Amino acid sequence: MRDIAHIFRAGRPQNILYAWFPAMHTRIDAIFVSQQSEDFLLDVVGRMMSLIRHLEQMGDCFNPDSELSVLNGGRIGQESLSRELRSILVQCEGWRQTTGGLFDVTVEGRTNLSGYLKGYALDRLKQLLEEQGVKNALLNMGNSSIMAMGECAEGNGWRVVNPETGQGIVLHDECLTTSGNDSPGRRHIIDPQTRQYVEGKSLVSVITKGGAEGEVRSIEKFIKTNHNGQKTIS
Amino acid sequence: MRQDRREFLKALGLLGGGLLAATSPWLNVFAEVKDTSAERLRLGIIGPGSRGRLLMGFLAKNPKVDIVAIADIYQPSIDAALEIVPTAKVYKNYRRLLEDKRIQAVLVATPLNTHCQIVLDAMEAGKHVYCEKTIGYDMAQCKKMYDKHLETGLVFFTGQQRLFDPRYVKAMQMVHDGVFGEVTKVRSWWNRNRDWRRDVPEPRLEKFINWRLYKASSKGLMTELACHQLQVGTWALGKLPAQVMGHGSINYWKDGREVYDNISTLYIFDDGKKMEWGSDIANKFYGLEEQILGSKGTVELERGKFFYEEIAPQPAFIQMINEWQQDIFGDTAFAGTSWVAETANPNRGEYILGKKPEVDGSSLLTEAFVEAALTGRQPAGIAEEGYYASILCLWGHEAITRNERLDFPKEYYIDYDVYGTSESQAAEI
Repeated sequence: MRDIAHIFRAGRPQNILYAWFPAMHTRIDAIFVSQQSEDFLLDVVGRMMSLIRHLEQMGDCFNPDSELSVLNGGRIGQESLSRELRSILVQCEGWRQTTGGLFDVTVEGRTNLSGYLKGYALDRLKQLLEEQGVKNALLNMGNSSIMAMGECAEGNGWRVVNPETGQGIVLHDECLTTSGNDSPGRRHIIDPQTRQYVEGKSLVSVITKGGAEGEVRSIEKFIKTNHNGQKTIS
Repeated sequence: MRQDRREFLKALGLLGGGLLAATSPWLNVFAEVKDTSAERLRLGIIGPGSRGRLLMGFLAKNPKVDIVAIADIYQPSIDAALEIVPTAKVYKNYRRLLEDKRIQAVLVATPLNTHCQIVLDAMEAGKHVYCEKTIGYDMAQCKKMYDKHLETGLVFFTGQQRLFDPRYVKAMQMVHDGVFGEVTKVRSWWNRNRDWRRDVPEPRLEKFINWRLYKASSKGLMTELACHQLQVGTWALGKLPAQVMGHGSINYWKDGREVYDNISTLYIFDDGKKMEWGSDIANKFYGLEEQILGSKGTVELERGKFFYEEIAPQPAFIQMINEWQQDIFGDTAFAGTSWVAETANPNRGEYILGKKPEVDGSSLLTEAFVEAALTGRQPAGIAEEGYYASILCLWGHEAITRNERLDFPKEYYIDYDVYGTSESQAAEI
């Protein structure tokens, strides 16, 4: 556990542990405010890493050996999938219907869970922390999905800032999810209505209770605000 | 460039003081336990040569300082110093300056071989002392000076400006936090491509002006350059080396100088960890650097950067936890887009302070000295770090001249918890 990259500061009155590790082709930065010991909190981080590895092995479409890639390759059918992956796909289909088709993980012609899996992971991590008795935490997945739990060391939620706009916001047991293109040349979200990548620099952030929902709503809003050439940052 | 003290503390998340007690305890000098804003320190400068005048430049701008006198025997230095402080009284003999009862403190920036007697005399005269490094010509002199500081209780600072350089302070905090894993080696060097000579108006002044090049007055690169960088190594590793070996030679500047122009030294710790230091003044390509090599990352202090072996901590998070410890609520800046598979990026590192370094610690070091002299409070560790930095240089020089691997001379141990040394260990020999 000591090999986990982390910084620990002993209590005043609570301990602070900051740990970071690569996850889902990006990184997770986690900060805990807790009365628990360094060893205990590192053990929690270890469990988080194991959970992430499990989710990557299941749903990472960039990994040819993942369960999702096997499905995409037609080597197994939906009936052979693990219960968890099947459940995720059912959820995604539900969101597709709820958003009128704007959120669609199959728009590329294969199932790409990408951001949804990231949001789902944050929900699972939150559940894990609650089970372990860690009530105050900030989980940052690659700067685009930020899950806040409880209070920071100063109390009163967790304040985060968009470095580009300087706009700040305080999160209270909420998730801030950002989707879009952070530079003019970047494009990676396909509009299911046009089957074209959404072009141009544009970011949309939403605040939701959960990470998976945040991913859906940010994509939905991003496509809506950028449809027909509209380019807005909100 | 002068740095505002408040900005310095803010950059380190240090407002309120106390956070870095373990890493940089001397910063408590800025804890402002006593309001000195209305006070002025009457200061004398002994040796206003090039380094002395650089420090005078900072001190002259400090509203808490009156530079009331200067002492030197070289008229061009006196003339140049008077351009900074035209009203200062001029002494040709430093002892006369020390007799001036108005003077509370002195800054000593004379040639190395003269430091010891001047510092002893100054403390005998009841003056607080800032002495340029290396403090003594040999290890025995260093011990005498340090003991005099303890005996008199007067403030004693040495010219180790890195102790007040924000990037060094911040980096050491990260090193001691374990951010870079286990540090196994510290590698530093100071290379130049020039002869290190000053212009001499007449031949009889050669050894007086170019005192750095002659054995009677200097130990060359070891005492003039190594002092800063060896202290960085012990600061990072938190202990003193157990052994040293080295080699020195004159390979390029064969101009009558007596000190080496090409040096390599190796300091070895009791667990085998190492600190390398070298200097070559016939090649400047790699310039000046101190590298701290850890199992998780590397710090390059002169560049002010760190490089993580795999994935680096986010500066915004580090800032956040530092600010919490000072009861300052800070924002955490991050936002981006959904993830996609990323390609590997070249490791360009991160700036320790989030931006390119702008200042070294010289102005803050002088400001700290003024604060300490006004309050009469010696900051923890400052004399001890300076003392051991000087001992390391002189011990290394001895290994070079004797061409032997030497054990640390424990008779020069002083009481200093940070490095786990005590006078009693010296007495056991």
